[in-house]
Amino acid sequence: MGKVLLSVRNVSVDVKLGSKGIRILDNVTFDLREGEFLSIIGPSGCGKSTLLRVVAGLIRPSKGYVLFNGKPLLRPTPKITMVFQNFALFPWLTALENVELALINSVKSEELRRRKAREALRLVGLEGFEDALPRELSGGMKQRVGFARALVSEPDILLMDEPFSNLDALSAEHLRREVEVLVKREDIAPKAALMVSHNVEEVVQLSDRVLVFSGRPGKIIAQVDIDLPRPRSPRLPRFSKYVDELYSLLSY
Amino acid sequence: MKDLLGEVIITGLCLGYSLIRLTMGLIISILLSLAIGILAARNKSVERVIIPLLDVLQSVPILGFFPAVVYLFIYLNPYLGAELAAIVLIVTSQMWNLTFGVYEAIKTLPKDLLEVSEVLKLNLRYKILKLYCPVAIPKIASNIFPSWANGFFFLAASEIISLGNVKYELKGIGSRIVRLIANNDYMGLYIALTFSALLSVLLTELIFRPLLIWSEKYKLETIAKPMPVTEVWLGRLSLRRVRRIGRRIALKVPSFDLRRRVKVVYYPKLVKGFSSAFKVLVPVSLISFLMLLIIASKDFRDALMLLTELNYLKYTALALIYSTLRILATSLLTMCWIIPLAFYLYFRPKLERLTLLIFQVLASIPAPLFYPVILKVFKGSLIELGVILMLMLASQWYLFYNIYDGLKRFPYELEEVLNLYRVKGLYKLKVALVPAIMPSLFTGLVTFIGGCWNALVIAEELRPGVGVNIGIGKELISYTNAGYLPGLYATLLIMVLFIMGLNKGLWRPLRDYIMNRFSYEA
Repeated sequence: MGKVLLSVRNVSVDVKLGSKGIRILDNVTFDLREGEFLSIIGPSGCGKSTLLRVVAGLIRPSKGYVLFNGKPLLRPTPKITMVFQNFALFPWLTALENVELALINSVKSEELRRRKAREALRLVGLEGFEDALPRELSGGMKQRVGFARALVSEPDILLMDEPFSNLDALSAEHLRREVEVLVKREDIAPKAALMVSHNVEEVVQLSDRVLVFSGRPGKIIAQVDIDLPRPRSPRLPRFSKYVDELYSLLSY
Repeated sequence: MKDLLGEVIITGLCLGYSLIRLTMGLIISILLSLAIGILAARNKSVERVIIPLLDVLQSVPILGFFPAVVYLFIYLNPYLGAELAAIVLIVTSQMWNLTFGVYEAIKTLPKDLLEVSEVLKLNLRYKILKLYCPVAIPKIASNIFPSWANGFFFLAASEIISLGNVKYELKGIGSRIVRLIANNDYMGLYIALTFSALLSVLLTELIFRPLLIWSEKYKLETIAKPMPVTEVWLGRLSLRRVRRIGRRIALKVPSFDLRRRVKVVYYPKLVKGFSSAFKVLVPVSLISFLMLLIIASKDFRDALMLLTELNYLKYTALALIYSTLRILATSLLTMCWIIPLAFYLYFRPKLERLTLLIFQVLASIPAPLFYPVILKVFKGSLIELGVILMLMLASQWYLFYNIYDGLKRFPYELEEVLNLYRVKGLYKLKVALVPAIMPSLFTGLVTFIGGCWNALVIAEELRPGVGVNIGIGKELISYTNAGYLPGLYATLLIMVLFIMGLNKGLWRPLRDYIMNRFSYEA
């Protein structure tokens, strides 16, 4: 196991609903290590997506803190990027321009930006679609642009907010396999990945470790290490065993 | 002292009369908008006829409706008729943006909700009550602001009907202000102005704003916001509410009894029959109506004769060019300050409430109040600037509300992407916010320009005989004052044709491009 990259300590998040405050995340603590693919799974409304946004620096926790490389994380950094559930692409920008957006602050030269963005699109298999607008792309292709945008700045941590849930089953399956390869590649892969999902099979296929959350307020109720050789086949009996284990944990 | 008290009482009474008229006008406008908007959005043949018609009607100056109201109402019954005529005129200044709002809301209804109601063969009444009306509520609530203000702005023109030797002046704050100005009664004017400002504040705070907040519940989010901050929870709740509506619709199915089912099954046939009848009926009835008018009315025949006179055509074409240039200049100037203002407010949401309140008060000042000031400041050839200012005062709010609304609808998820990659400042404007407002800027601009055509008659001649030398609004006023109906009809016809040409030749293609390039639906 690599060194600790990210530490989440006693994080709670309260939101205001009308005049009342509601706690949606309660006292969450965990570490993310180098080389690790960590997943968070839990029922809807358990604050998984919120936790991801706390780690991205988009939301300040009401209590607790997040350390990134040993320093407090207070705002978004180019070293932590995110893939969104609904792709979150700008409809009036081409695929290339959408990817370039991620480099606006870190890369000054426009030419270099363009080159890196092209390279990222090639990496996710979208060579030749640089000038396409999002509406001209299929769901799977849109999410590939989303991955290219998240990877182009060579982040240390890749966050994924239910990245396959808005795709049809076939595209999701395809993209999942590619992501499995991508995040374990030495040259371009981020140092660690953190994914939120409610798809148990997908979590078993991709993760090294899984945190199981309770319903609102979200709390860690279990932790499961997935010890399976890669690439993983869902047909293996050990695969199903993990799936069953997670399902039984979730049904509490 | 006794004088002052009397003044206050009279002003209050006049305000009361006007308030009743405006309220009736607004209620009628909303009901008509719902009926027309739903019909146009759900029936292709109706849509083809109604939408271009509305495009034109929203640009027809209030004077254009004078002959119709005079003939229809006042000749029938001078007392009640004049009141009804005033309400009809108020409706013509309030309803167009409401109708377009309803139309747009139903036109952009998510497919699945429509399909659910088709599959379940819901009857029309249920669809209207549980589907169409709820989704139209947010649009209506936000459009009430400019509608009410516009009604107030044109109030004087609605309360004083004068067509040749037919002259009606109804008791009301609009007509009173005109009289006070004519008498140079400044004390009276201050009181009237204070009263109408007070009324605007009260209405905005006690009715319009609460309505707007309540209407949030009925908002359909096109893109779900996964964020746990206050507004988003509201968003989620609203989405849940809509789903609940869907579920309620679904739950109704088993309870349909046989009789009802039979009726429901025949409904599509009815619609089909109706729409094919509509296709034939509308053009036929329009043409026969026109023929009848031409045969029956000497004025119409004279108008047609006038349209063949070269001198008249030359003069009107020149007037049209002048007015178009004025509107163009007004549009550019207005955009220069309204767009930055909308952005400023978007970045400072705390100022929203106060600013909207101030705008509502400013927008509700009746037009005649500006005349003395404008005539004093813009003398001689500067009067052109005065015209531009009047046009601006009349219509700029349409532009503002549209752009501001567009900014507020910027999807939260995209906002998150911008935050994540720390995209800020000019780049944020260029990449995200400016493209994002394009559709609403376009809609706002079209409504704004419609409003300008409308306002030409109050801007180009500020007082009888005082104003610009030539212009289409000026021409219409002079024909109206002289009671020369052929001139009024002919000029209106030319104006309508010109506006239709603009709509088809310029706005339609531009609209298609913008809606295609900049809409969120992917």
